[in-house]
Amino acid sequence: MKSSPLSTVIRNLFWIVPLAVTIGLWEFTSPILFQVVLAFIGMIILNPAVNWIESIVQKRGLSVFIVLASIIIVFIFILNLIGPILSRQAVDIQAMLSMDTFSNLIVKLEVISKDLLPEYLFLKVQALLVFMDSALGDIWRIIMTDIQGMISKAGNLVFAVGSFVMSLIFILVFLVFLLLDGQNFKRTFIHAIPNQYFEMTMKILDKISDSISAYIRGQLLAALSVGITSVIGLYILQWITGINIPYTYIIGCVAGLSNLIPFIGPIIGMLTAVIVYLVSEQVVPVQFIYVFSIMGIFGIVQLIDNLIVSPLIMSGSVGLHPMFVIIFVLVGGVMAGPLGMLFAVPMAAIIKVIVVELRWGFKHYKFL
Amino acid sequence: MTKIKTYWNNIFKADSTSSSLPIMTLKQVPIFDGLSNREFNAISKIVHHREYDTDEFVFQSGTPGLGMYIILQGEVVLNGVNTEGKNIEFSQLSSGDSFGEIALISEDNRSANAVVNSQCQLVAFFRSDLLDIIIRSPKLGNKILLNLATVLGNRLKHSNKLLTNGEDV
Repeated sequence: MKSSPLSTVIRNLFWIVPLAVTIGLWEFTSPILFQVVLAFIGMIILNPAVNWIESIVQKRGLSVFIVLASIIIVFIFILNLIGPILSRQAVDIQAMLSMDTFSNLIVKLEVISKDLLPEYLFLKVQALLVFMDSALGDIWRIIMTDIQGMISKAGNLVFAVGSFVMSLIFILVFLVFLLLDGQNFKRTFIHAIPNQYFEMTMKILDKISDSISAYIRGQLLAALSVGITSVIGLYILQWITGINIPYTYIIGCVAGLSNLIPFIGPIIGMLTAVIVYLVSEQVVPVQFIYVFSIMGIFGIVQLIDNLIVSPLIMSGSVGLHPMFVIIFVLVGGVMAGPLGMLFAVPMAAIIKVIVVELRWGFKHYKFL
Repeated sequence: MTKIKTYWNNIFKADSTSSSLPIMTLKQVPIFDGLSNREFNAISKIVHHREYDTDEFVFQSGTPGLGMYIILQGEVVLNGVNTEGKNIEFSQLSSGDSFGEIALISEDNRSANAVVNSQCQLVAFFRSDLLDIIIRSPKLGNKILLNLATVLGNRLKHSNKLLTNGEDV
C-alpha cells in the first residue's frame, strides 16, 4: 500500500519503541545490549557451521544444537587444558603491577641505555631517569589504578546481570534465538519498509550484513592467528636465547586482541612483551639485543599476518586513514576505557560500511 | 480460551501474513514445480509478502535486479523504452504469473519497469534467499535451479522462434 508518513511511523514502531527505551534507559539496558552484541558476533561466527550441518541433517534446530554442543565440549576441553595456566598468569601479572616493578623497569632501562648510548649521553639519560623517578612513579601509579579499575569495569559491563554463569547462559540463549530466527528478524524489519524503498533496503541490508560478517570473521581469525604466532615466536626466542619471558599466553592474548586496532595494536602487543621481559627476573643479563629480538619476533608475526593470513581470510581492509584510527581509539578510550579503545576501530569500520552501502543504494535506486 | 490464544499469538507470531500465504498460488509458479508440501512450507516462510496500490512501481528500469515477483492478486504491467525512445508495453501479467526471474541468477540492472495496474498482492523471492536455500538445503536449491534453467531455456526458445518468424516476414 502507498503509505502516509503516519502509517510508516506506526509500521516501524516495533523497532522505534525498543530503540527509544534502550537509549532512554541506557544505564540499565547497556549490559544486556552488550550481551546481545556478543551473541550477535557469536551468530556471525557460527552461522556458516550451522548452515553446513543443516545441509546434511535438514533440521535447523538440530544443527544449532549440534554446533553449540560441540563448541561447548571443545571450550571446556581447552579451558581445562590452558585455563589454569592462563588464570595463574593473570593473577601473577596483577601482583606484578606494583611500584617495585617500576623501579625494576627503570634499572633495566639504565642497563640497556648504558649498552646502547655513548657515555656522555648515557649520563644524561641516567640523570633524567633519576630526576623523573618520582614524577614517572606517580604517572605509573595512576596508570595502574586506571587499568585495574577499567578491567573490573569492563567485567562489570559484561556481567552486570547476575553472576558470570548467569550472563553466559543469557548470551547462549540470545545466541540460540539468533541462530534459529535471525532470518525472521530481518524479514519482520523488511516487512515494515514502504514499497518504494523495499528493494533498496533489502539490497543494502544484504550488502551490509555480508561486509560486516566478513569483517568480523576476518578480524577474529587474524587476532587468533596473531595471538598463536606471537606465543610460538616468544617460545622459540626463549629457547634460542635462554632469556625469560613469563606470561607468554597473556602476552599472546593482548597481542591478538590489540591487533583489532590497526597501526597501534601491533605496537601494544610488542611493548607488552618488552615490558614483561624488562621487569621479570632474568638469568641471562638484560641486553638491548634481546629487546631488539622481541621486536623482531613481533615484526615477523605482523609479516605473517599481513602477507599470508590476512590476504587469505579478509576481503580487503576497511581503508581508514591512520589519523582517524588514532582519533577513534582516543575517543573510544575516553568513552569506555580499554574496551572502548579495542572496539572503537571495528565500530568505526562497521559504521563506514553502512554509510558506503547506504550511499550506493540511494544512488543506484535513483533517490540521489 | 480462544481469545487468550489469539492474544498470545499476536505477541509471539511475528509475521502472520507469511504463514497464511496461499501455497496454492506458489504451486502455479513454474520455478517451484515438483516441490513437496514441506518444501512449499519452507519457501512460504522465506518469501516476502507485499501489497501495492495502483500505479506504484514494483521496480524501475536501470535499478539493480534483486529477484522475482509472483502475482497473488491484481495486475502488473511490464513496460520500457524501445531503441527509438518510444514507451512500449512488453506484457500485462495477472494472478499466478511471475516476472523478474533473470534477477535470480544475474546481478544486472532491470531492463523494464514493473508498474501495478490495479491494487495488487505480490510475493517477492530474492537471489539472497535462493543462495541461502542452496547452502542450507541443497536438494531444494537444485530443484529450484533446474526449474529456473527450464523457464529461461523456454523463454530463449520462444525468443528464437519470434526472431525466426520475423526473418521470414
